[in-house]
Amino acid sequence: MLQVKNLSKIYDNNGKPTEVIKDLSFEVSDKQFIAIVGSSGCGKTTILKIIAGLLESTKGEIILDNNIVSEPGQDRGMVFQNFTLFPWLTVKNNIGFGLDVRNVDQNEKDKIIEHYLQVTDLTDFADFYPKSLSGGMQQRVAIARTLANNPKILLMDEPFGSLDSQTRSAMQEFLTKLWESEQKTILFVTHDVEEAIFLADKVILLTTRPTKIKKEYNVNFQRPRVHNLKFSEEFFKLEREITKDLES
Amino acid sequence: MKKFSLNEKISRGQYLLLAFLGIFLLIFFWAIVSFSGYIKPLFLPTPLAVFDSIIKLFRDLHLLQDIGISIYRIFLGFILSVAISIPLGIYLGISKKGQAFCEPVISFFRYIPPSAFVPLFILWFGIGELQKVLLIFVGVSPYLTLLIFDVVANIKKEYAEAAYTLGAKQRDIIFRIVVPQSLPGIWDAMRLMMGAAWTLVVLAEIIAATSGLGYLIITSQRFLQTPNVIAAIFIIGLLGLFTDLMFKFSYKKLFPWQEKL
Repeated sequence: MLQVKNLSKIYDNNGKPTEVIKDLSFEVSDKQFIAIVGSSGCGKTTILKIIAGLLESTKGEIILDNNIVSEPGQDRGMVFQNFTLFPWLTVKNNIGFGLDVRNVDQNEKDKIIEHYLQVTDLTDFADFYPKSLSGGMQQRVAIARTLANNPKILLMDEPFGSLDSQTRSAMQEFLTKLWESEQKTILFVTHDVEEAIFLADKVILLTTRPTKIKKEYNVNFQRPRVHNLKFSEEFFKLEREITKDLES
Repeated sequence: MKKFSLNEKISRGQYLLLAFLGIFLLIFFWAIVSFSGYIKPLFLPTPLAVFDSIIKLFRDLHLLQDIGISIYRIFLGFILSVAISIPLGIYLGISKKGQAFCEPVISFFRYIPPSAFVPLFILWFGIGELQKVLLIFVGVSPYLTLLIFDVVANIKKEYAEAAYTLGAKQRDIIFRIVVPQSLPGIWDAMRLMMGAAWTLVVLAEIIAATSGLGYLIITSQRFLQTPNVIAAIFIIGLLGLFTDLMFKFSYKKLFPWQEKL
């Protein structure tokens, strides 16, 4: 379980302190899919980076399975909005990066890579370099790379934000399927309300800066979820409700 | 009017054709001024006379030896520079403290023309190989270090962040992220500095040597053998072109992952 307790972040802007996050607390239980929604610039990425250990918080604690974490580590995998595949490694070696760092033995490594190539439907591209992959494929590799490392929680920072809408919706379906089969804990950040509802069990809506929690919504749609869900009335109602709250 | 495009592509055939046309025009222009007698052969011999002396120089093996010794000096000086500049440049690129400590010193040396060191080096090291190798080193390594520093300082930080979240430690960041990402830029910097190494070896050989292409130039000049001087210059140009092509070609082989090849 991930607990975020009384998190605050103040940036020093040329001597003028700017409060970005104010006393933020929430929890993500094991195997839960939580989406954080907020308008652009509200500090969503900052929250994820603090959880990942890439940024220091000003106040507050991040607790993962009863341990306070402050440094980055393999237990909190992150998928970024910008494509961050290592261009000098093939798809296969990108997926194996975390395993190489941890000196996982070769047989074990090959097995894990094989599995995630299959899960992400990239087996045919194992020896390609990232430069010859489309944006959607690159993000699939990025997800595979993080999952292969077996993190306790997967942090996703608008991973589909720079994809075109068609690829984006295909990737959302891919991710729900993956989540349903792999049983991972996911904390997903997005500014897209529809995306959040489609993917998550629970949506946390944030205020503008300094960021606090505005409201939480339970999303109880049945799984497996498919594309058509987006056209149902209940989906539409919830989307309208959250959008209204977001803008008010 | 055709628009000027920054990523214009031309075919390989077209490239070769234009490349040869450029070289041909140079020789053509040279032939015109020399054959016409407008410039005296003592100052500018004809292409034929130069070609003739290249053949002659090759025949008595003299030239091959000179080429060999010059390449040998460059090789030693360059290897020494690379061996120091790559680790130092990478260190400067990742450590602000290292940067503060070393950059002013390196920049200071960078602004001194290497030729200014020649008298001092002769005094210290005589006129043997060491003097020439060290001259190449002082001329090449400050630039090479700063070029590599620049490459490393400008790599994308996102990759390091991604690696950290995959469990990488600082050591992994250096050897698995910084180094592989910088290598193409380092290779380009080496290619650039190879040209400087050629300049310096010829300079060293002109000033004080008993062999090498620079020595060939200065002795030929003393005996007014201008065709030999130009022959040597021509050969230096060819060798430079050849090394450059080798760097370019190996770049494609070494870094197939690069966006632009």
